Amino acid sequence: MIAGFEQPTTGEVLMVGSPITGLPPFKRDINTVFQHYALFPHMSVRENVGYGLRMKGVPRAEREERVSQALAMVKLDQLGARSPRQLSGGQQQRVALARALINRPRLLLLDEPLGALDLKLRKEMQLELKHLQTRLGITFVYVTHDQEEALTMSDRIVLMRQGRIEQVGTPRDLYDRPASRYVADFIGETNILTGTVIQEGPRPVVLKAGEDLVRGWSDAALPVGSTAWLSVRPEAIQISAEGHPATGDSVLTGKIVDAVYSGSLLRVHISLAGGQLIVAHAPAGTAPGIGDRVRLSWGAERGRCGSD
Amino acid sequence: MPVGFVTALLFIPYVLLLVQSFWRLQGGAITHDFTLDNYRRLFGTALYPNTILFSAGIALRVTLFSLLLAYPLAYLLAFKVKRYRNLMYMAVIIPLWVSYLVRAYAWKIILGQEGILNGLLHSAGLIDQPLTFLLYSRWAVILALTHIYTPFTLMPIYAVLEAIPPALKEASQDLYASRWQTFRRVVLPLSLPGVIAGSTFAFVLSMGDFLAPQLLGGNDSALMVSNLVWSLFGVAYNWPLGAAVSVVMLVLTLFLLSLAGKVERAMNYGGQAVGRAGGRVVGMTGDEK
Repeated sequence: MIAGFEQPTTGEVLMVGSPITGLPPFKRDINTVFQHYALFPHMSVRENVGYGLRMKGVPRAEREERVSQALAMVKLDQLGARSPRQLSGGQQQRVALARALINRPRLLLLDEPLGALDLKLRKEMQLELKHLQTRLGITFVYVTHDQEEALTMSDRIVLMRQGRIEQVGTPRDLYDRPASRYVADFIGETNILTGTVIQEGPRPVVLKAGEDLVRGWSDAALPVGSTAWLSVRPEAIQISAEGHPATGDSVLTGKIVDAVYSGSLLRVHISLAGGQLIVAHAPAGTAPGIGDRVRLSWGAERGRCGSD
Repeated sequence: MPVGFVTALLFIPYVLLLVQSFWRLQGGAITHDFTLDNYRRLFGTALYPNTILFSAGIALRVTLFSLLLAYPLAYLLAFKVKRYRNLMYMAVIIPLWVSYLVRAYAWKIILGQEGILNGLLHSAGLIDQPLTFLLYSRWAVILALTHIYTPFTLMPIYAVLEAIPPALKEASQDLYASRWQTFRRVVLPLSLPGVIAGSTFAFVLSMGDFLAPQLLGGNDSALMVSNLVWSLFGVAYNWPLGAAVSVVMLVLTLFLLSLAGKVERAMNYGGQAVGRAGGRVVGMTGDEK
């Protein structure tokens, strides 16, 4: 709908205040980087990049110069004469980017542009795209299913679920103050506990989850007696041996069932009395014993509550 | 072992044909001594090259008309028709199941003096006397061959068009190309391998066609090369000369097929290898060792 390939059944699409709803793609000041790049296989890299200018009727001399600039921008100046299929995935990605940006659109739509690249290249391209965006000052609308990518790259995230907006905000907002259980679960890794509200705010809200009392903050009013969820990130949870005094406001006890080493940290899986699994992070140097009974605790400000 | 058997059975006739073309006719009997006379006569007499050229001219026109019919239809099938696509595709393909002979005869019924077309025109009051030029002319042959070979042209074109990723068309429109420019710059160039495969089919098959000229061509049929070969083997009882004409046609056809195969391969962009029909025929002779 942004690019104009599909028309909305209701509502309007506005760009910088003016409606573009009925406009065909070729009349919009928007360019797209497609999911699988959609480079024209029968044209050279230069022809691909120059296609938009050619269709707009830009004279050859100016076109050639801008193509060279665009290729230099994505560091492909040497490969202009090649055919797209002679390029690696990352290079094809850059061609697609140059082909869209050369037209100096007001908005660049990127449809999962890095989906086909391997992890290392993807990280590189993420940073590169971000720098490029800052330098050019063009609005990028970046579609991704990768929540980490969304957090890394965005100034503002619109989290959509089945065509509806779940939350709009900065990456920090979405991570630290998820508006719904879905957002909490989708962005980053989290533990979700469900329980009954036994103490309404002022903050913190207290939930009774099973036999335990847990605390977290909420933006919405949660009446006593209603059912609510609480989300707590693995990195917020302290693990301490049973018997030691707990450091946080919320305390749970459970048994370690697994500890997965993942380089910079250890991901510890703890089974609660009710059978629910909680994931908590521990420093990579520690060696928790499988089967040990432990206490889990966190400060109330690290928990988020909601009622949906 | 079976492969060798089949290969032998496929190749022995060709060898026999080649050998035959170097023999000579002497006093009404074929003598088995080696001579190049047949080829000298073939290239020295205007009749034979002219016949081949005339056949090529017919084939060229058939190819052109088939393309003009098949390309728009293939385009509609591939991009515009959604719901009845399979039904329409079958409607194009099903005539191929009907015997070629029947279809050629059908044209006889349509175009003949007492035929359907004359009947219609007469009852519409447009003519008093039946039109006689409809049947038994090169145009009747071209018409029938176009009808018969259009599906062959359509299939490879449809296959390449369908294989073009929709994102390429979207990308073109996203880059300010109108629908026509998108067709001209993206769809058409990408469909050329299919066009070449289809044209090769239509050209080669109609150039060597025998039945349509025989049934519908009248006096013009004598100008088609297959009918010439037929009369050389039959009425004239000059098998060696007939074999020589056949060998020349065979070489010409193989040359055309390999040329088409080469062009197609050169134009095969990325993974969209579809209309490789021409190339495959050539590949068969080489690969079955």
